[in-house]
Amino acid sequence: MRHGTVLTWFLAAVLLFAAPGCWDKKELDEMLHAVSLYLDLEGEYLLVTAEVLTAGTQSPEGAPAEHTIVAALGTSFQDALNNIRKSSRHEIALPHVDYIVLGEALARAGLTDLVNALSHDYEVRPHIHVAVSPGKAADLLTAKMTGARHAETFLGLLETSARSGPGGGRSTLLDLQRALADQPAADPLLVKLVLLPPPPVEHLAQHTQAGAGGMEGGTGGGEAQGGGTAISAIGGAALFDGDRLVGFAEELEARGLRWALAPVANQSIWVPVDGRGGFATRVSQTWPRLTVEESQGRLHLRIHVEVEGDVTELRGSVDSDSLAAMAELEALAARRIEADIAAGVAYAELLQSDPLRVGLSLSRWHPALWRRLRDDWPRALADAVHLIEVDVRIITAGILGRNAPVGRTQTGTGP
Amino acid sequence: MTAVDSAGGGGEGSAGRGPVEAISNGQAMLIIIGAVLAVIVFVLPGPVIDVAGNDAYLAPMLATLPSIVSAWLFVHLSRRHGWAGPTEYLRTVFGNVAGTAVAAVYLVFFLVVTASVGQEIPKVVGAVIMPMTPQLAFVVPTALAAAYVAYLGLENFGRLAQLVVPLLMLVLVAVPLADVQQADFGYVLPILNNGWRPVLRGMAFPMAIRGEGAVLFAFLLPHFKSPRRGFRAGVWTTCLLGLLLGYNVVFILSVFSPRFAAGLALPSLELARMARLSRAVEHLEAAVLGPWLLALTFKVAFYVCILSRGLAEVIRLTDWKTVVLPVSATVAALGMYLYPSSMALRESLTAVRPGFTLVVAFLIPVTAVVVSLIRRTGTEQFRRSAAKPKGHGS
Repeated sequence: MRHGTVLTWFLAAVLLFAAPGCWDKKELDEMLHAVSLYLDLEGEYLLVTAEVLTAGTQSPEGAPAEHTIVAALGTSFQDALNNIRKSSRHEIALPHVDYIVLGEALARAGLTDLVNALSHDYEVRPHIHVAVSPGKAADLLTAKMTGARHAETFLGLLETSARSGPGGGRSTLLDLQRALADQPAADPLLVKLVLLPPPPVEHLAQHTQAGAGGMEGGTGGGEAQGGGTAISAIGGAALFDGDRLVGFAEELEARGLRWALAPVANQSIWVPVDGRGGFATRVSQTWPRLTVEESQGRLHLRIHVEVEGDVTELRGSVDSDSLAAMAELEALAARRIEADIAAGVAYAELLQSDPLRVGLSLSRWHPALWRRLRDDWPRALADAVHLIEVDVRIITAGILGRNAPVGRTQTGTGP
Repeated sequence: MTAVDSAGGGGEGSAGRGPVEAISNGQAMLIIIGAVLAVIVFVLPGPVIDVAGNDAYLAPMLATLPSIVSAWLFVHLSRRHGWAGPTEYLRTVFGNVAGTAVAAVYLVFFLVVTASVGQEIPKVVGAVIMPMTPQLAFVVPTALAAAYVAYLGLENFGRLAQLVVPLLMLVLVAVPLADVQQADFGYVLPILNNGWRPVLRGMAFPMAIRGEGAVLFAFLLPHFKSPRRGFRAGVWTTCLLGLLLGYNVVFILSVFSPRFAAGLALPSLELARMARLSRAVEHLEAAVLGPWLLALTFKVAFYVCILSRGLAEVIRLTDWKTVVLPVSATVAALGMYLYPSSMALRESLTAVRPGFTLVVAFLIPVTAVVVSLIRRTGTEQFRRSAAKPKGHGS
């Protein structure tokens, strides 16, 4: 055999034996694969509760791996993970974590150290979802594990919210990392994850969607569970001042902030029309634009949102049968969205939070002005004059331009 | 073929030298691009962003200009001396003893650079995917593979570069596009808010590696099939590198924000971690790590080849291949000694390398040009050799 061939085989053998990385032999079956993390502050300790699945375990019926809970306290994130390893005698793997839920106390105490710890762990991917839960995050997991039939309910909600809901993917670890790095020019805005109390059984029999009115789909929803189980839902947003949680915006304010913050797609809004009924519009896309400038010694904040959508439902005597009627619907929808935005902006200012990243916009387009204002930010924002403009364009009115008269029962206030 | 071409690189027996292994200008371009990209694109954006902030993308693009100047100096020197390589014309310019000493500086430069490049594999792979694997498990196979590939000779590198480097370039262009959804291009604003000074300071790091590319260019020039067009190839190479690196930094700034990106040890790898196509395609790190490790191993092997050839020329060995394995082993051992940690490696890249490159890519060639002009070296000998009828010297 030629020397070159021998040498090639020798090198290949060396590479094959040395490089595959089995130096810390870990079998997949023996590992805990975390799919979600719930983090809470317990006194001075961090409580890490993980929803895990083990590849090797099977239920007695031979069904595939079950989700289980492991938890441990620690002085730091890595310390808590080590304690999980010790107590479970299994290695815990984080590459498959899809979302992290933060408890309220932890979020109020400040997230910088935690975010740095998560950023340091190569297994934790930056695009995973981050949500905040009022109260303890672990309680949310416990409630879900004891009652939920669908193990991925939370993930489904978060995915829907990020993909098409208002908020447009502004609630990931990367968004949190960026917002904290941009201080004080921007504050994080995270999804608020809640368990809604179980609705009455007779109500469940008729409806499977939670949330009524306002924006449907990504923000409300969740799966109705039989037997009085609580329903998981995205119930608003968590507002921060720097790295500390300062308050939870309810559905209305959160919706308003998200209209202004990022494009919204495939969402429905219900617009009531005084005394006549109302109509539903499915928003296909939006184009939010934020401009800031100084005039006569005051900041002028202009939020302009272009909305494109279709009419999907008419109620009562509301019609979309003519250009004039359509223009009226467009104007009504615009006023509705403007009111949402105004409520959201007012609430954020009340909490001295800048989730719309007005400071960031100022630093990009008016750096000299930003240098002057940054030390007093976001207090300077509270004195700003707001101009909120929404233009709605309804593209199609559907196949029914006017409801057929059905007699005396048509009151416009039905379900 | 012109007299210059027949006398010069790529051809046989230039200016009294033995047979020269030839590579095409395109292959040489790819070799230089691969050598520069393998290091700069993974390690350097962080420190540059740290200094230049949101204007960091300008630094690697501006570093193109000094690289062109450095390439021109080397082309000028090589042309004056019959398209010879640095180890030869430095002895002509500075005299035998001083010239050998100066050539030895280049060998030390390549030795240190190769040692550090060899350590990037265990430091990066160890940090991200194989933390429990002993460093020797990376170092020994790399040293053996590098020695073997170097032993096969220069022409193999040309062909290997045609496979490896386009793949690396493709990955570096395509992977950031998968992050467009997360990118906020407003992060590059405001442009030059803090003036040019941070950008010029930030230029030191990319300039160091780009200067290394220029030195590599100098050592490759004698092997160009068409050295007369060498300068044009050098300019194209450095412009392409400037654009690629600028593109890479723009995406890093836009996806991670300047302040967060400044703290990232491997921002380009982070870009690949971020890439996500729907929920179906994730964890694209392997797509980046694969070509990058190929390019790094290729670079180590190529530098071992250059070191072995240079050493053989300086100590006047007849066959450079006899020193390939010892050189490769020395490089591996030196790397483990000099760079025991990833921070030591990063520090050498950001603190030591810029100064060293300033010496080998600018100071020495400028001095050599001045001295050769004063001493009138090169041109006369070259003219005499070019004026000789063909076959006269054999």
